[in-house]
Amino acid sequence: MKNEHGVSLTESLLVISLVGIIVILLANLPNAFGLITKSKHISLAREIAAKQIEDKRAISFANLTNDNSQIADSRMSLLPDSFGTVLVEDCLPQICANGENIKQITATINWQDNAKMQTISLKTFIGEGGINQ
Amino acid sequence: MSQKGQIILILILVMAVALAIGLSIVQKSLVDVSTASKVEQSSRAFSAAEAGIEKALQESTTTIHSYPDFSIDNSSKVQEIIDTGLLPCIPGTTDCGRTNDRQAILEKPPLNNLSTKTSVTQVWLADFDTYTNPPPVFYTQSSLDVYWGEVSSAEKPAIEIKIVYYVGGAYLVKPFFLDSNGSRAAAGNFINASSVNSADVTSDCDTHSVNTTSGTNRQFYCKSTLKSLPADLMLLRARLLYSSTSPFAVAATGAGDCTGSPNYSGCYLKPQDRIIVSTGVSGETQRRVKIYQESKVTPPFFDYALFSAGAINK
Repeated sequence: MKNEHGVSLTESLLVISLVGIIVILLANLPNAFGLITKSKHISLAREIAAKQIEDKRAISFANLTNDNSQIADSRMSLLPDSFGTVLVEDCLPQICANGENIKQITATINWQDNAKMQTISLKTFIGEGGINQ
Repeated sequence: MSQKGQIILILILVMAVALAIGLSIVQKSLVDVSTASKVEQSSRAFSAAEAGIEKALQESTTTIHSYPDFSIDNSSKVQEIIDTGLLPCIPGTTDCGRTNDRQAILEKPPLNNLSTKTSVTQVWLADFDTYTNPPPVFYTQSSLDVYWGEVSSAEKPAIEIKIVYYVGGAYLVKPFFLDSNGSRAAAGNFINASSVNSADVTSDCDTHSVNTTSGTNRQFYCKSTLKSLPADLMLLRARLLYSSTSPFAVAATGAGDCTGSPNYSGCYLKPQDRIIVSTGVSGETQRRVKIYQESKVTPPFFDYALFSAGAINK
């Protein structure tokens, strides 16, 4: 019987395509890890922003003063190069046309992921005699 | 002996395993990112919904408002606010309708025995907006309908209703102890709510499906009509016993000539509660917040304060 040497065309094509897929996948693997980290940061930033809003709701309306203060949450250190602010201002006249006693609260958190700036912003109203007041 | 090549098979096997691992990591990262962004959208929608509630709470309660949708910022907006105005409305008044009809049945948030805040509920029978002592009377009929009890509850409910009234310069209490379990009622000296027809109470527990301020076809296990009520009614207090939770509603009985006229004073309960439902939207995510606002709620220990011989110091 004759000995068959070499590899058939189908086998070669199969292996080449398999190797190609794996190379593409492994090349994108660091990206995938980066995405997992990014989604963790997004969740954390959202939690911090939501907590800031709840903290403002716990303050009675009379003691809410218009200002733009920095967020002081210990979890901010878990976000790389993070910086957050809570802005308290009067409700915009276009929305509160009847001069209602409502303050607009905006919690914004910025951080860096892969040298790219990420932002999360939550905005709500707090009114006199409203939720938690 | 010639050795055939096996290394390529081994390599392919290894690469297939690496492929599987790599694919699962990529899939996890995609799912993570998708979930994180959906949760973020959900938070924005919730904040928008709360903003809608705050706006509605600032509006006067005398009329029902229709709010146009408005944007909070570039990514979220308040899509809809439904504000019932004060309930139950007085038939024949603006936006109330119900002319020639009884006042709507006022349904309170469910009684919950496990929560201190909602273990007792109250309904104002007097005019709570006028700050006199005693407050002026508002409802002057001698009977009142009470709907209570969860239909499919394993533990049959009992309820303690106290009618607070004012006579001779003092606040007095007329209690009604109702039990849907007949044998337990007899043992505890309660009124058998499942079947009674006396001068003081008519009651049955034949499951009632009625329309209330909270919606249509609301189910209640028992309906009890409290009769022979004294004059100068002030307040109704209800406390749930035995069951852990129960819906609760009260209706003016509108006896006699009490239908359809807003000038027929004494026939209706003063509008006192308000339901606001606000829907916030961000991207494809919607969140809805509902609040139930009550007027001048007395604390859960109020009944004990009434019975106390001396001052209650907390």
